[in-house]
Amino acid sequence: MKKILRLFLPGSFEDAQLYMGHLMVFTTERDTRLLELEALTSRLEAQYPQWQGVLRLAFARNDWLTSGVTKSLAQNPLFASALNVAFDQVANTQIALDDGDFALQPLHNFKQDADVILDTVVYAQRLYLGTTAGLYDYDIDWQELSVGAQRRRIDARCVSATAEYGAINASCEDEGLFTGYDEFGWQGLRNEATLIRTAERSVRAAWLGTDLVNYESPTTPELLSASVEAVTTDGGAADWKRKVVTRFSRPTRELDDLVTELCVQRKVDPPDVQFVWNSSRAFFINTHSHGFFSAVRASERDIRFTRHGAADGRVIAVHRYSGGWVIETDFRAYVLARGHLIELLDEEPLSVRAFEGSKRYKRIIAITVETGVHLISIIDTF
Amino acid sequence: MNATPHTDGLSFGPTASSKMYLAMYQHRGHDPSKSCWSPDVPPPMEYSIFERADDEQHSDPDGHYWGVRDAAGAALGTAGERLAKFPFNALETVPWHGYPVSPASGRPSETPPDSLIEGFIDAGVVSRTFGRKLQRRKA
Repeated sequence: MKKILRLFLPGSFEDAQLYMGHLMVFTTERDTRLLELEALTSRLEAQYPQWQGVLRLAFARNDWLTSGVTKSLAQNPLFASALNVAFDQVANTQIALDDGDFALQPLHNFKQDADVILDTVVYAQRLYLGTTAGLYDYDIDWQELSVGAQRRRIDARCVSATAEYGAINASCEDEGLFTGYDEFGWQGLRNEATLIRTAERSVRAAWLGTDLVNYESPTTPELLSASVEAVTTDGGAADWKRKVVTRFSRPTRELDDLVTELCVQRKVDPPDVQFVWNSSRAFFINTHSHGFFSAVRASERDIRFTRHGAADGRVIAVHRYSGGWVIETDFRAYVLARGHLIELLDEEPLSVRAFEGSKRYKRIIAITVETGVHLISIIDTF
Repeated sequence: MNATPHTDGLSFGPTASSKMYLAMYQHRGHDPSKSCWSPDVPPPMEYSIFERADDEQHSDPDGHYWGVRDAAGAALGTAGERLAKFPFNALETVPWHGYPVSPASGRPSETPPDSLIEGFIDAGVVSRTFGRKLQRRKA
């Protein structure tokens, strides 16, 4: 059973991210502003007694939900029951803030030259903006809440970006897919500003382990196999071991059998396939009239499909959070839980963000709408 | 609104700028390879979408007109398309026609330029949410 908790912050925003203790909002005034989440939730807990002890766990410190202390306490049915009651009391309700309830802080020195933000990524303390004028990056000093000079990494219209394993990938439609390897010099061999063209066409890309799936069209995935090196970077008291992608192979069409097999096994006409997406381990395929499926490759020749149901309208994106998948359709957002779709939002999202890889925000979905940002926390039963 | 039957569709017009319009049967299910208007967008509504695009000059630099059903981008195609394209027609003797398109399809020909969408948002032709999703190729 999922407990869904909601916090709404009004404003005129284009997108929102959660990173390093802050909600980052990208405003319609081409500015980026910040809100410190622990301070906000502490203040709100005093204001809303029913939410006391819950708000911070839900919206600022998801890591505490799975900490040793909480897990240990929840093994005792009395404690587990008390936690469930506390969360159930506020589940499916919302705290809707007014403008005066919070103050956004500036991200100093931030300057957005491009007209329109198309995508945002925050990775390794660096902000990447995919825009109508190209891909920009900004190194953020989280102590000073300021950015260094923006760099325009590529001038092709960048509709989508994805970062992991020290690399950034910029999807620039007909201009192609462009990759920057070892962006942070972890491997120590190169740290150049130039991006390399790694595929001829790209509408988006997603990681499949350390490999990359490039989507030449919304239903045409191609595989870029990665060469990876394990590196140790200086993390102060403890060194960090990381995987760094050093090169992608040329794109191959070995994933074509995903759609082909679905059509054979489930008797779907190829034009009925509407949208394909992948997480690190599985694929998601939506169809116009046969519902949507997950697909897992059991062996080289064996792809197993599971039908989960049907989304209301076209699927335009899928996002992974620690509890499963968030499915974004034309006019709604849902969480897929045990084969069932639970509606998260009954209005059209402008952007949906999930934070599977983060420490503190694994269970939060940030959904920007025309009038503000919904922070939605999805908590499992203790 | 009077429509005249024609071998290829229903003919409407002229618009205020003297354009004739043909609601073509091939975009009403007669040709499965073509995108298809939704049944709840009957030919007179299809024409009114074109007429508004013509009246308000919703055209791109190539002369194509683009239209929407409403500011929120209600679906107008059977595959969930929320945008209509009326390709440029230089011949006055030939009627215009149009069909549902989707920037989310990834096809460049189904994508209006950013500047046109910005103008749509500023003029309230589309909501900011719908406009941004067109620009982000998510509509």
